[in-house]
Amino acid sequence: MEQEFYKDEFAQMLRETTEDFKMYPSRRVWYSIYNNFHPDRKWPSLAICLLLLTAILYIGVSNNNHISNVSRTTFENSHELVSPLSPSANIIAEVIPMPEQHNLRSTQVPPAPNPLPQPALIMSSVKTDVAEVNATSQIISKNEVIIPVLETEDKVSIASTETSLVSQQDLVVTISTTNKIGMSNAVIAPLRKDIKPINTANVLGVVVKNNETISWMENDVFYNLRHPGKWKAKMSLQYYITPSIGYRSLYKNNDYEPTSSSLLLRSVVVQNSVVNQQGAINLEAGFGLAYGASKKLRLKSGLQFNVSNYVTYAHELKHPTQATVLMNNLHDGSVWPKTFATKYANVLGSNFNMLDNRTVQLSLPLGADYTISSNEKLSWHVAATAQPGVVLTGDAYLISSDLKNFVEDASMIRKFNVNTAIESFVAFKAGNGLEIGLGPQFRYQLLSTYKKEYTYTEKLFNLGLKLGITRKL
Amino acid sequence: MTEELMLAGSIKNNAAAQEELYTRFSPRMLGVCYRFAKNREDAEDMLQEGFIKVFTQLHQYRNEGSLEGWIRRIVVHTCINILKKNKKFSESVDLIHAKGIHIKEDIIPSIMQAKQVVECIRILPLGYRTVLNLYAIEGFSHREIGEMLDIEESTSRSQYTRAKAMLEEILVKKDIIQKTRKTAVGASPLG
Repeated sequence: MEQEFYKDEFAQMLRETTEDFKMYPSRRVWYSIYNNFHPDRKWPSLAICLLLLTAILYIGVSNNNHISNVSRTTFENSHELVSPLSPSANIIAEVIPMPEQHNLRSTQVPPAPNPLPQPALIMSSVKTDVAEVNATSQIISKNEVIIPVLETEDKVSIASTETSLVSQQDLVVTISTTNKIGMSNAVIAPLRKDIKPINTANVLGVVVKNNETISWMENDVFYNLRHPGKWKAKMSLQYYITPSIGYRSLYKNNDYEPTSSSLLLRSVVVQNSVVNQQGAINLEAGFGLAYGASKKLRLKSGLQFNVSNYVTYAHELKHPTQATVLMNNLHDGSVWPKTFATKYANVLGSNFNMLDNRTVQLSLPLGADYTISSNEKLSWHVAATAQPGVVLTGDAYLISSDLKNFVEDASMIRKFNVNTAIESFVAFKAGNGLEIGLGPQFRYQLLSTYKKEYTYTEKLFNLGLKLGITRKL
Repeated sequence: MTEELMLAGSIKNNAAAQEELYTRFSPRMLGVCYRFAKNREDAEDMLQEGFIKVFTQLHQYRNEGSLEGWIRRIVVHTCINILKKNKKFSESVDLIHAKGIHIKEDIIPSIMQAKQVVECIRILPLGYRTVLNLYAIEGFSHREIGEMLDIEESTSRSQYTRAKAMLEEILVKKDIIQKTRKTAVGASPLG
């Protein structure tokens, strides 16, 4: 009975405690709900997203080299200044006890071997000795760039440590970073032999004593606030290659029957069965930038190169013959004949040739991929892209109106085309922000390979295996 | 905006009314979702799906009971449906799986007391906390929980007993309730 009473009381206590428990959702949730009920108003936001994506892409591409250079410089400088005991060269906060006089011109510190081209290392300074840390410690946030206080012959840049300032938020961010890399209990080794190490745990202890900071930390932990990352943190660079088998479908797009018998028209319903054709190896390669729009969704764009091909078998005649190809009259829907001389016959003779119907395209894929599930090492994604592009070059063998010949006429290839691709892939997280993905891809050409004038419509499609490497910027 | 106007507007798919309703109830509902979810993002996903259902089914609301209670029920059912899609969930509500679970003290968050209980609930294994949330906080009976989670009523009862014992242990360690069980709640600073 007592137990039952307690159980009820326990439940009641929990209910009362959590009754007024509130959390404030991000605006993303409302926007998603709103878009669900007002799909017609999605467009402005989609347009803005597209514009933003384009801008990010432009900035990303134009700054890519710059970013790489800065990263390299940062790493090199960190390597010089951060203790080898540090588990990661990415540590950007150091705690250094400074002399009581705050002498900014310490001669005990040897000059840095190389002048810093940029303030790459962010340092925190703590006035006086370790014992006084509790009272006067100052930790500088990531956002405040502090240059080592040195006067050297090399004229290393010098900045004052007097104005070291800590905002609560910055302070916590610094600690959070430290914890993330497992340094909470570690002693950061001195940069120089004359500088005594400080146990970071002591410094953290100072922080913990700050009530306001505690409050902030509690709120942070409680609300799991997402720290707004810079765009770079959400960007990744992708390289991919997709070998595939390419096929086509061909059908007539004009059933207009001219009265002239000289055209030798024949009714054709399914053209694919009339032509001897075979799939061929195709290749897609490209690179792009992906932007993590949410935990599961990445928007991506880039530049892509495609070689599409399929083979038609034709008997090569010894002497050219005349062949007629029907063309659409775009004004009235009628057809008109265009005559060619050709030596390719649509029969399988002894002297057969394999005609490569190859096109080379450069396109700008725009798409997104969605993470279906993931764990620490693997993730499963589905993705789709639309690929508007330009056909750089190609060969086209048109079927004649009587289906007896092929006519070579590259001028009939449409200059601009749009493809779409859907794919699913499994990505393996190789560490250091590197992901290797592999999975099947289906690519389909939305517009005909040929211009509207030609009376046949050809749609290319590919089935391939995509291998991609994604690296965080 | 009055509740009647807000309701009528929301049923007519008026964006302003819908936003008003969302703004009014979403903080508390996110708190509900957060107790069931693995993390905040999952909680927001649950909230989003829950409110889509709320707006879709709003015309069925008959003014019987409070609107918040009605919304809360939909949100809780949405959370459960989402959890049930996860294969691990069905395993975690299984009693056999739940045996031998031990909570490490160092993962108990040290945060403000009023919020601490929620965080402590979230430390519990998925099956435990779901049953505990449904029974102790949402007020469902073990029979209803059994139907919702596709488990036996007795399983729900056992899950709750174990969840309660584990939560109690955590709360004692955090000095939220006292060790003497029979009088613990009366002496609780939460009381």
